[in-house]
Amino acid sequence: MDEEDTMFKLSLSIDSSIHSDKILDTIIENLYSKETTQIYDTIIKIKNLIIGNNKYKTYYLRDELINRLVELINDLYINYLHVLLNDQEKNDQILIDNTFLDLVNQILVIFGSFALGNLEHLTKLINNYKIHLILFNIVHLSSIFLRQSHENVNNFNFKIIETTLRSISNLYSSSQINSGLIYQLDKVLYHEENNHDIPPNLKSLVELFSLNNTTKSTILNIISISSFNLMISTSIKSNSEQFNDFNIKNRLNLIKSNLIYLFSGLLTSLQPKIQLNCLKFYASMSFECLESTKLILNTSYYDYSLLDLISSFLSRENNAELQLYSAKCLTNICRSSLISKLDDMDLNSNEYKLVNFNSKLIKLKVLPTLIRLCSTYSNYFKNSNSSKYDFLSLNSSTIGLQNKKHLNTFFLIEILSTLSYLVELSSYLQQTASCLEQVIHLIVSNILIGFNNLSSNTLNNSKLHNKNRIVYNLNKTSCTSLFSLFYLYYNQFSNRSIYFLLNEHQYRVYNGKKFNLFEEYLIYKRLISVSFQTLACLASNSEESRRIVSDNSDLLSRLIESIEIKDDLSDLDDDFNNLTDYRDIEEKFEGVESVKSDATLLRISSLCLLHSLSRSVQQLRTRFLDTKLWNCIIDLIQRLKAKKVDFKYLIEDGVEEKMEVQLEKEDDFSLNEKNLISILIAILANLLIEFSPCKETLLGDDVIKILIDFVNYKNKSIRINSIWALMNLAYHADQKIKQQILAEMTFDKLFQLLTEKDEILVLKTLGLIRNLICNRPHIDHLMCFYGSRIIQAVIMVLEGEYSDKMIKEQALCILANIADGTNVSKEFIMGNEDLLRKINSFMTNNFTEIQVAAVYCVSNLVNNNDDGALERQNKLKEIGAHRILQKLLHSNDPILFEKVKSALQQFSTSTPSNNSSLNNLF
Amino acid sequence: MSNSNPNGFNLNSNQNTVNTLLNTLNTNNNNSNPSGTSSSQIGSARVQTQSNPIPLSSSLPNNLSNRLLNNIISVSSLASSVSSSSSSSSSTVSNIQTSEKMDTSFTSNEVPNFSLNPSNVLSNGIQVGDVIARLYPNVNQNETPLPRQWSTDHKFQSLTLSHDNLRVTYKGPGKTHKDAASVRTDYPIPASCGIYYFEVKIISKGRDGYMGIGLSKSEVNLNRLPGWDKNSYGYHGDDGHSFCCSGTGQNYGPTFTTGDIIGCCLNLIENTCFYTKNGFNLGIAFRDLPSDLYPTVGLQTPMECVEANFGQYPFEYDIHNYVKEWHLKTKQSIEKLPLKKETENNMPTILRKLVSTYLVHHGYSATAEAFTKSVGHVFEEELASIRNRQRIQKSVLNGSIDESIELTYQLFPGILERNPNLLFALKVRQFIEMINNATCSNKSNEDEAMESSEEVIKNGHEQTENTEEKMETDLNNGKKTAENVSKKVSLDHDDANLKKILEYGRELFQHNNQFTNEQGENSSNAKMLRDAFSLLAYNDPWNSPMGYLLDSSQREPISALLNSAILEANNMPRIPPLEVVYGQTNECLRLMSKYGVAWCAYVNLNDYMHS
Repeated sequence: MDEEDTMFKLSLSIDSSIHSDKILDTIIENLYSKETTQIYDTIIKIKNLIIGNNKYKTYYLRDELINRLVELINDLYINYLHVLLNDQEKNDQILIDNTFLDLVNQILVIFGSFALGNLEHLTKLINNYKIHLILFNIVHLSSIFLRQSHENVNNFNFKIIETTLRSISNLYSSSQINSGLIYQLDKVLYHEENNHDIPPNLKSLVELFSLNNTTKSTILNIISISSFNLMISTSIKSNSEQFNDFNIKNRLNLIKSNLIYLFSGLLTSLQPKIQLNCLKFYASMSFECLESTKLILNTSYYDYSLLDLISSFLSRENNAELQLYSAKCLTNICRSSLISKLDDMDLNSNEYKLVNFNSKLIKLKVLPTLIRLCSTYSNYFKNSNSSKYDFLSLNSSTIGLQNKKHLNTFFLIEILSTLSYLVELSSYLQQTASCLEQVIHLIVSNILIGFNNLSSNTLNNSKLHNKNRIVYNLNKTSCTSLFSLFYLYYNQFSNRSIYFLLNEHQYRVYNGKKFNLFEEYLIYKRLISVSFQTLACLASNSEESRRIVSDNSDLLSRLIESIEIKDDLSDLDDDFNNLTDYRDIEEKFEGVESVKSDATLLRISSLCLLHSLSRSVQQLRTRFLDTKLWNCIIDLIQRLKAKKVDFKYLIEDGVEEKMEVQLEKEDDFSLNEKNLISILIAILANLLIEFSPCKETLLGDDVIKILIDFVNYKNKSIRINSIWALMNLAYHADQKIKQQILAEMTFDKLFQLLTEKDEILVLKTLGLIRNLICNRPHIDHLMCFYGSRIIQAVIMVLEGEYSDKMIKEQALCILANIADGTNVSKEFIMGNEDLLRKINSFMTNNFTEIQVAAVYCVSNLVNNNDDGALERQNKLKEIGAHRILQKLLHSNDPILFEKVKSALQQFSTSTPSNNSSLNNLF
Repeated sequence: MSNSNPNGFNLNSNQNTVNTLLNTLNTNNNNSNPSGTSSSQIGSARVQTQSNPIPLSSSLPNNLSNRLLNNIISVSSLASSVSSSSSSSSSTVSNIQTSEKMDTSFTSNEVPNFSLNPSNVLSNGIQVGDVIARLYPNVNQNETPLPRQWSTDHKFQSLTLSHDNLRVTYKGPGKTHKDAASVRTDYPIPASCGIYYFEVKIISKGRDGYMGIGLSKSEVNLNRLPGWDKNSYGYHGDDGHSFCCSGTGQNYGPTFTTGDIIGCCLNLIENTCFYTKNGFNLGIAFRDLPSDLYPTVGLQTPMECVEANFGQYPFEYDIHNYVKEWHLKTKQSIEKLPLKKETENNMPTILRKLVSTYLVHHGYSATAEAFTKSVGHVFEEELASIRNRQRIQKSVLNGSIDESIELTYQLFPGILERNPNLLFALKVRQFIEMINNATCSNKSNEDEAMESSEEVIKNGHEQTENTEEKMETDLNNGKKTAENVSKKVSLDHDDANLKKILEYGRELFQHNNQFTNEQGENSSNAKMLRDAFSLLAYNDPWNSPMGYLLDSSQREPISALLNSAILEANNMPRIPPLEVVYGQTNECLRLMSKYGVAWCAYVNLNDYMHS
């Protein structure tokens, strides 16, 4: 009590003293004094006042004072360094008084202390006074000096370098800093003099790295935060290309700078904080970056490979944070190494085998570690009042209890996002993960608790009249993160996922910063989003997981709740104005944006889960039917339609500029909305499939038209998903639907799609055509109208070069379907000898699937139940098809064998029937 | 000879033993014999004046460890050495004798201590190469044997065992659930395992794959699958459900079938249990489990066949990683244990006192001085007195017993007079040393050893500010010294020498007779004498059954005894508080293990001794 009183008095006296400008004047006067000791004393006084006191920082952060300090540094030290550099011989003669060096050191300490102030201080320091320039300048000059004089470093003051580095590190690691300021810092750090070299400032840091242990850890700190920032900003695409290029280039610079190797030694340090920073550095470097992944895989520290060093932190005796970041790092490496498949290089090299999905490391170490952490922290989250697991956290003693709770929640978010990122593309890992430690139950409970916390949140109850309005607003947002889950295709690894947005959050929240209600609110939102996301990943290929998820009716209602939210943009700002609490937050608009983006994020995650669930026929017929889950989908589609009406006006204005208008149209949807549409259509694709109970309901809503509109979009995944949905729709559909599709789509459009470069798009378009040309009467009908064009398209595809063999298979399947038609349709193939020879040659293709399709096609052509079978058989025999088929009888593949056998049967049984027909003639 | 029951050795008997030992010692002190002084008070008082701090005796660290190991915990090691069938060497037997009659510190360092040295296999009844036992180092297998195989007795008749009783096959009708059959292991899981783990491989799922793997208590009906009854817990392969004392299962994990390896881990600290499938943890299945559970499997349809792995082969699941975490948790919970406020405030003082008393006790005068200087704690004994004790100990450890006796008479008058048994022991030792000298022609070797030990001491000085743990590191060097010294040479029958020895022996014998006349039979003294004399009977005393007596390490107990006697006479504790604390902790751990407090499995005092 006494202490508090005195503290209070002290702060009072500070307040009163601050408001007298006289003190400041005298201080500045003293700084211009000719007596060194007086300057020194004043500086010490300032230092002691501002350390740990934001009020004094605000007070002393004045132009006059800072200018004088900068001037002193320039006069005393930078000039001195310049002289040292220029006159190598006189090196020994130039002696500088130690008190000057002390003075410089103290000034640098003052800058370092300012860097720990609030956002306002930081902005002033960086934007107005460009302190970081001075600091980097000192670093740069010192490193040049040390480089030039190997022996004569006795008279050099290392302490100043340390202080300078620490001040830079303070700037970077400030809990208040935002990405704009970091960008300013990075701009200096990665400033290039010529394009091919490592940036000089970065190079200086690399050189100073080996100086001593203090510089090592401070440089590690600087670089790990900077690399983290680069990772975030590369994954969140900014509007300006220049900015993106800057980020990518900087990452390459970091890779080139040998730091990956240098930091590997620090992993063996005994201090957990340094180890943690190292792991974070590697994690952010290896994220979706093949170059650094390669380097990490090829680096070794003495006899230990870097990979082994990183994975050694997975073991349980390390604290949870180290385990998490080690797992995260390996996850990133694993996912990054997959990128190599695209480039087709080193695909089977030993390094990559260590980290692919089937490697022991990922399967038996990383996955179980993540699951274990997930279950530990979920349990912790459940009983968040108990402090049982406190000791697991590294920072347990430094942060208050409330923040600790949030830190753990944050951890859970981080664990879940890493987990979902890991299992996203591997159904094996999904299945393994989902049966371990009842992880699905835990995540489900996390979601429910998260929702409970949200609803009990004071922000909701007392301040917000309508919680839904604030939370669930769907709007154009600044958030541009892409979501990789619904890229259902294996080779689109360049797309980013939600995972990164979470990192950005960590960035702001993690450094022990105080939480306000609003941020607390966001945390729960994020947790719910990421839990939905993880569930979506886990359930995407496992029927059992889907059952567990959908059996929980609470969860389903929450799911629908988070999808079914009304757009109500207009009231948003009003609501925020009503929040008295919230007014205190300075970056109000930024806050609003993050609320919005979070809401969209939540909706996307929920849709992802819905998409995973919709993959199950059983779920479609039970849960979806019971709860009419598709209602919210229809609702969303209606809203999208409403949006589209607006575009119509645009289109009508100028028909010729149609394409341009379409491009413009894209911009009306934010990236997040595009993701939303994409996932929505993916769900639709599953809902529209033949056996779906809601197919009819959906068809009433103009779905075909909407889908075909989306096919015209620029966004790749939207187009693919739309075609996919149409393909599913056409599967076993009746004539009316097919005609409607063709009428809306027009064959020109289909043909145009086949000429696209995107192979998946081609594949799915072929699939759509195949589904359209199905069922005999339909085949004939369609062939009557489009026969020659379809054949033309197929020939084009068959002649084209594709890496995906599935495409040729699909094309052959279309031919087989045509061949299944009546004589009219068959004639389209039979009349084209070239095509027949092509089919022949495909029967001897290397890939069994293509062989099967070709044989099937022949078998349909020679089917002796049709009229004119004999002629066709003869013709094919002429070409040599029969002979090839006989050879294929020796095939080992059972499916191919069956097909060949049935085709040959058509040939053989046809002979007697031929005879009989001949007999009849006679 | 030994009055302790190997298995039912309980706390009371321990205390009794301790009490008797103390009493023995007290009687020794009280029955002081003034006549003992007459014979050897003649020695010249060669007091070496040394300006330098007196070097710590080479064997002192060794001595420390010996005392730490044996003195206080000897009671427990005594019990284990008696009961251990594998360590029945003659030395052990004699240890028991001496330690009972003379002093607890008289157990030789050959007696292994299980609590300190988990890798030592003798005292726990662990045989060398026993992989299962190595998994659970803190389990005393003589009291609580580990499960190693399926029991042929606790088995329902429709099951057959094969492959060293590890493989179980169902050979019954297998029609309804009434045909279910279970088998348990030979022993229950001891609580001192801390974390127990076993794996079961499904060789064949048989007809329907109704297999249950789990835990049960001994009274559970064997005509059932594990989990269906009270005190019975199981995970079933057909549906993947977990059964917790109930006929209806809970959703738990995936199903399992032929080729799968199912592991079951019992955490006795938390009383929880989780399963693993093919090396993946499936999460906690049961909580609040009772004690004394047996690993159990149950089968229900024909040709179902499973094989257990209790640790004889490597496990599929990385259990060591899990154990490591609990090591860490145990350590952290000890370190973070909140103390009472006043205790916490006094903690530094208490610790300082512990350290300094320990240093003083063993006469590490220079170290003690430096320590005192750096922490500001004042010790009670005068520095000169410490140095004196140190000198006496040093002379004993160097084998010059005569000198030490003289010094004691001179510096601490009255002690040997009051303590005739001690004097007698010293004299016997002197006799042995004479034989030793006669046989050890390679005298220079010993000198060399002494020199090297002085170097060691210098090291000790440099580390003055460190606590006693640092000095433990000297221990190895000390042992090396001992090895150097003990180069054996056969007894050289130099007549003159022999005569001298015999004369001294005769004197001793008379002395003993005199003793016996005055105080009645003292069997321990008599035995000591007999043992010493028997050395003469051998051509090569070093290789005789009594040869161990010649070893220089045998000087340590008597030096410690002398030291204790001096301290006690000066109203100082006979055993330094630090060692008492250590001993108490160890005994506490032993009792924890005995009464099933599983935390003890991961407390290793060595972690605190060396870290």
